Amino acid sequence: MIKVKKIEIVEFRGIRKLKIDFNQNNFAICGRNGTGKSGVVDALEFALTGNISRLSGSGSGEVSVKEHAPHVDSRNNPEKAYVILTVFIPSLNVDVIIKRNVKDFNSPTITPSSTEILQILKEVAEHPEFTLSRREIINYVISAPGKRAQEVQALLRLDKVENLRTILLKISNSLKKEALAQIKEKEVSQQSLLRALQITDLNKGTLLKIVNSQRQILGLPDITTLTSTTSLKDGLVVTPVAQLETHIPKIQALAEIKKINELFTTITSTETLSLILNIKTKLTKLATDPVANDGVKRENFLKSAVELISGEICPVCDAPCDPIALKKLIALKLKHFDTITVKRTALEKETEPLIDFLNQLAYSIKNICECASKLKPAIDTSAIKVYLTKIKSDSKTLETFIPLIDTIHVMENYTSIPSDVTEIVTKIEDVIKAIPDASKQDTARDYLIIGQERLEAYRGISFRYKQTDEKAKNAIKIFDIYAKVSTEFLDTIYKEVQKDFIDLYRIINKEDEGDFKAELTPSIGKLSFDVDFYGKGFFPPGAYHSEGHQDGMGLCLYLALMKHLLRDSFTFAVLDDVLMSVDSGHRREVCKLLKDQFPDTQFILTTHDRIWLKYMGTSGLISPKSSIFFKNWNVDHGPSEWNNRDIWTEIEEELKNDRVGIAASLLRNYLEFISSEICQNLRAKVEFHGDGHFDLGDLLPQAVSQFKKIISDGEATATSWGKKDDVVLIKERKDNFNTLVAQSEVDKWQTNPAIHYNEWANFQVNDFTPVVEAYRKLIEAFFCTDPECRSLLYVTPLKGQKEMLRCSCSAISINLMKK
Amino acid sequence: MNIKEKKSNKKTSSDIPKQIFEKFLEELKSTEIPVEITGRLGDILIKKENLSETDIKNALFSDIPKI
Repeated sequence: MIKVKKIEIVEFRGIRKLKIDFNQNNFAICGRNGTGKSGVVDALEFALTGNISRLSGSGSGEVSVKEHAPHVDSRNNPEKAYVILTVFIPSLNVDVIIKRNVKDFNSPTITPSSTEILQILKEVAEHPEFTLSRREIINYVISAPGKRAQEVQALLRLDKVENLRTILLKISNSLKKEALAQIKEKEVSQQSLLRALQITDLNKGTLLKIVNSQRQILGLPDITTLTSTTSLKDGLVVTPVAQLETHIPKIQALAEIKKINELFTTITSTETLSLILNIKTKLTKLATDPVANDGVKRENFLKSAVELISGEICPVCDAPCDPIALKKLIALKLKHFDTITVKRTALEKETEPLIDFLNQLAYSIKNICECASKLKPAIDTSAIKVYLTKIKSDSKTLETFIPLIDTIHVMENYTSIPSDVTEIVTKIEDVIKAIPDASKQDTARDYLIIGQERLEAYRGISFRYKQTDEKAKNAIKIFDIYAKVSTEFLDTIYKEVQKDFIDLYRIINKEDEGDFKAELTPSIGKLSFDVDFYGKGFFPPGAYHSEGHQDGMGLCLYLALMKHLLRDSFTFAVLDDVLMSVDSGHRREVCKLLKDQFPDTQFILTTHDRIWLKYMGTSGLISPKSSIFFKNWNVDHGPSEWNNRDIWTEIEEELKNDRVGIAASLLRNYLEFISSEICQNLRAKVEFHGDGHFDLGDLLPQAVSQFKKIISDGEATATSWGKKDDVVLIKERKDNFNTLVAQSEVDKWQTNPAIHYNEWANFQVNDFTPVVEAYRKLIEAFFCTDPECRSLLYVTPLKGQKEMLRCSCSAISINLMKK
Repeated sequence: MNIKEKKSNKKTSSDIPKQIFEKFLEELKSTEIPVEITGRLGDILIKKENLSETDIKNALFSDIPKI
């Protein structure tokens, strides 16, 4: 997609103003923690995407890009915070300048801005994963399968695939549930139709025969066929509305009352009582288990907890814990949850008849209440209406089933029918019975009208059920096909990623894990990741492998995924301090891996470890001029970099402005940095400090002393080989060096407080200028003087007997192996 | 072994969802699922960025009249 040429960062994060030339090369940014490295990473991400993941992802709380991306002093002027990034687009062979300020972070200025360029930059913006931090590596390697699946799916853009799977599953499950409810509704409606038509089964012939017998009474022609639009009352003169309002169809009303009484009998029967007792006993036992009551919530809680276990701290209470034991415990609880779910589902099934009784009763009571409202004198039906509301609510509670305590409560009162309810039903029945029997014609008319009403209701629910059933069948079929296709496809992808991952990891660890194997196993919503541990079996990466190996695995999995995701477009990646735990034995291999396997990818690497930087250089991953070293950072000036070319100019300028204190601080910091580099290069012996902190007094005298010794050894070696010319040159270098040491008085500062670096800040400009000059000349002696090389001298090899003192261009090459 | 030598001519995998959707629609065509449903699903899966439940429901059932 792109390669980065240069960046200019202004008033952004901890940076006031900084320019870096990347020149499309691999580039390293080194500096202690807190020196501003991540500010550059943030600026790169911001320029390309308009976002900063660290300020916008989960866990970022109330921090936001708009408010917190500007330097703290420019927080009220976000327009002053901006990044200008120059990128090269290889596929279009064009340079593009992107300028984005925090105020209008969604509207960068892009020059030039052809459609092709904008399309490529849009694709880059959609891939913020070109930056990888160690936190993200952890997510790939040692997170729970569910969390890993999310991370990997997001990286491979599979979230859209998973989203469709979830939606299709949700739709088919919801339709299945809806169809099930409609079957029950259809059953109640059918029973009601059968009662109205006074038949026992819904058979077309039986129905037409009885309906036609009623039509004949009214002199209406027979219905010969029953279709979905046939009206049983076809040809019947319309009954006036006023008559309908007072008319009570006696036979049908009494049939409903009969049904109500039958249901009362059923509900209070010993069989029902026994069923209820049985269910209630099991329910009461089940209710004592908290898992059964808040099962779904608890299951989700436990699943989240498993996903959040990533170290030896409990994700819930922050107490120290054994992650393996905690995961086992949670798995056991989730298994228990499954057992409880099975029990609860069985009880729900047993409860279904009780729900059916209540639904049928509610239907008949509703009908009879309508009839009662037409009676004169009116009968007070308020008690029966209250009961109707209660049984509807009870039915819903039994269907919902949770909380179990509510279900138990309904069970306890299920068989109790208030006496005033049965009294009112009896009263209504008596009054209706007392209504004079209707004529044959009126009875036939009631029969056809009510029969038609119920038939229409039955047709309605049947039609709705048919539609839902058809929709459900289609949805299930579509989901099944989608699940099959996507699973097969993803299996193939994961197999390819798995293979690339194994190949990459073997390259880094070929010495001891040349036969390394790994298994990436996708399953619905999860992605398991197990690795071979020296042929002893497959385990999660965090189980036995060291942190360094885990870091290596994370990097290899990331690279394998990116390679699969972008193929030839994987031209740029930022690795933000991702390999801090990789041990020294594997660093060179990591550098070689990046250099050899991804030659077309530009890596921007940050590290707080100077040794890492050195490996990057010596392995050829970065060229000598492709790095920057941040010396320190402060809130007013942001990061400042060590730059051998202008540190002396910088000090000189401070002195010109009579700022001895700042100049002294610069000199001391630089000497500390460069002495450390010299000690490393010359293999000097420095007194060990457990805290890893070495100040100038620890480093510079040792650097000087080691250099003197090496030069002397070189002189002795040249003498042993009889190389007189070399002896002369080395001696000249030795004498010159001794003079420089004497001028700097570095060998006296331990004993003479007046020239100790702690006193420098108290010097006058005239006193301090010669000190600076003396040290400048002394430090220069450790460098190659060739302007093209300018490398620090170093001893080879890194370990074992010293063989040579040399520079990168070999202009200086002093043999240390005596004859 | 040199992984970089094994470059393929496959489409980039940022097309994975698209490839899966295309294969899915192809499979649907060989079933008794009405072609109208497959057509509507095709429209939204290929063209729409963020799919919602309503989008999918409309694609699956928009020709079924509501009662």
